[in-house]
Amino acid sequence: MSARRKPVAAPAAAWPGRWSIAIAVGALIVAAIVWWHSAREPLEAAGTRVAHGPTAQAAAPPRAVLPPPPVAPYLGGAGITRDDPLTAYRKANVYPPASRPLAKDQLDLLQPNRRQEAMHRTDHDEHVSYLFTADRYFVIGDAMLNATLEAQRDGVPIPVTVTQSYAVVLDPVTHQEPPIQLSYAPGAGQAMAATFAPAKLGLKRQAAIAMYIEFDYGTGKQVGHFDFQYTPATGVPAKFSGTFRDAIDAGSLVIHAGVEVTTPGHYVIDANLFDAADQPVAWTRFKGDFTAGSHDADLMFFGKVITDAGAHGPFHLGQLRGARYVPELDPDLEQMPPYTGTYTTQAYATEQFSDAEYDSPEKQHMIQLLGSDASHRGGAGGHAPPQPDGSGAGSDK
Amino acid sequence: MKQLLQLAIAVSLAIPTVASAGVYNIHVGGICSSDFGSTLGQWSGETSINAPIDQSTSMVTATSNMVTVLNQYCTGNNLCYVYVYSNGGAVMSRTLALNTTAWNIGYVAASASNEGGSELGGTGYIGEVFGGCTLAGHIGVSDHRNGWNHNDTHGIVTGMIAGDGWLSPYVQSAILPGHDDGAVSEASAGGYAAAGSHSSICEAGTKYANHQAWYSCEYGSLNHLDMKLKMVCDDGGLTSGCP
Repeated sequence: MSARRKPVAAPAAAWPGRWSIAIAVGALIVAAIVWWHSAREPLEAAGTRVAHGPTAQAAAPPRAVLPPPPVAPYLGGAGITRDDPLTAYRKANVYPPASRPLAKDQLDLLQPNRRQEAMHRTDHDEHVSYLFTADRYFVIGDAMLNATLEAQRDGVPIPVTVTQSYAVVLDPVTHQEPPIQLSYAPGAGQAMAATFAPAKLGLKRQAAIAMYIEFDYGTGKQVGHFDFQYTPATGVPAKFSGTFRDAIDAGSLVIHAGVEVTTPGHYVIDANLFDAADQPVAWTRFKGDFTAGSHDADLMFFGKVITDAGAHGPFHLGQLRGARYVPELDPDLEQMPPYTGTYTTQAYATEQFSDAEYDSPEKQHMIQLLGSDASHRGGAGGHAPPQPDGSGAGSDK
Repeated sequence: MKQLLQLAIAVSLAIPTVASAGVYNIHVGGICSSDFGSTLGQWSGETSINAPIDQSTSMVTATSNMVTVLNQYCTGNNLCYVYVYSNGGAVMSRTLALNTTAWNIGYVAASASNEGGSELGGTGYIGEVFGGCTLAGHIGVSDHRNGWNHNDTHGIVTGMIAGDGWLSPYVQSAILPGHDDGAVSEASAGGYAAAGSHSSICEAGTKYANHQAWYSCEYGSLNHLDMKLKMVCDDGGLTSGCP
């Protein structure tokens, strides 16, 4: 007789069955999802949680609130820039608009009163060139303008005869501009030179003054002309007092420069910052309104500019200059006498400054506007015929 | 954590969206002009403005006119793109440097810009090339380069293009340093921070902050007059009549 063995029941309590395993794995997945979301940044997790309904999705797309990846700032360079407008704006605004890096070759900021004329050919003789210029663009108070005329034939200095020379104070309204006769005398080498003291003109406020010359170079005549800006002593709107103090404010260096204001109004004040090794680090521009009396111009040198340069103190200030901007008058910039001294800060370490990127409500507003407009592609667009080497169409000269 | 999440959601919902912002394409003409002219770029759904800027008497007047235009079109939720030609580039640069209003300007697109002034400013060709207005005699390299801080652009990018074609009476190209379009050198049109000789606006050299070359290193066959509409064309505003 064979006996059939009773099937042995599975030991349910000792080992899980298929359904139990499935439930356990499912629970593990759910737990992992919960952990994943809770461990991430709150804004991103929030985005996930509000993204269940279409209204919430439209109002707050999860990715829209994430900070975009950082961009490298524009620091000059060769070639063509092909960034889309939003990227370009972000790269242009890593630093604040008016507190940015300063390099040693930015002579427009390091030598703001250096004129820009250069030797060039005469109108009618390609062998003869000339340079009519002066030692400065801004003249203030009793200072003199030193004008010079140099001429060359095929690169060799030649003598010239000045046949006419005069200055006029420009009047953009009445154009009543009587000439003021000037005399030129031989200067260094073959150059002709004149010293002009505009203080003798008795002007009351800022003026643009034009210098004209006509000279004979032996085989022909040439006219020359340049302008300069003059601020009479009575027209100086404010002066730097020479008092300074410095501090770190919100991760940036702020130098408070004392200003004695005679004429209230809107002022623009520029300055450069140099590090302990006398290397240029940053430039800044203050724009603000002053009433008459004593004030501080807060010159902010952005923290990230300093940290990106790896610069440390003591820092010192240079090329401190400014003007009152009065749009109702012409000229509209009344110059302050530049501060000829310097100021040295505390010996700040690089690490004391913030390396955070610049941000502001205005910047975020522009990012929002540019992000919503796809009609303009800026540098990324271009309907020009493609240039394989990026060199453009080349010259036909 | 929960409170942070709730706060983040509330903040994100509270930020006003920029709804149906008007986009204005401001066109600024050159020296001795009072506006850009009759041909403007057109972009679908946007408004093109022929800016009334008087560039016949002084940079002060032109700057004041420019401020008025920007105040009218480039504030609030509006967005502007500014297309400048020749001395209009100098007017725009000066306006940004001296004022504090946070205008909403996507970029400045500059064609043959005289932002750095012209060496012709001190010669007998100034009237012949630029016209006979008062201001034409006072746009030399020192007038413009010393006159304001060109690096203060409000953080706005200036894209630049330049020509190198011949312009009658031709001799002025021997006066202007390096490559030029017959009226301005590429040092000016390319946004370089000093007057001097350049054979392309792509050359290495110090440029004013946020000034950059777009599309081409130079347009070798285009003179100053040809360049007027070139930037508008390159940026998609015109498809016919382009040089």
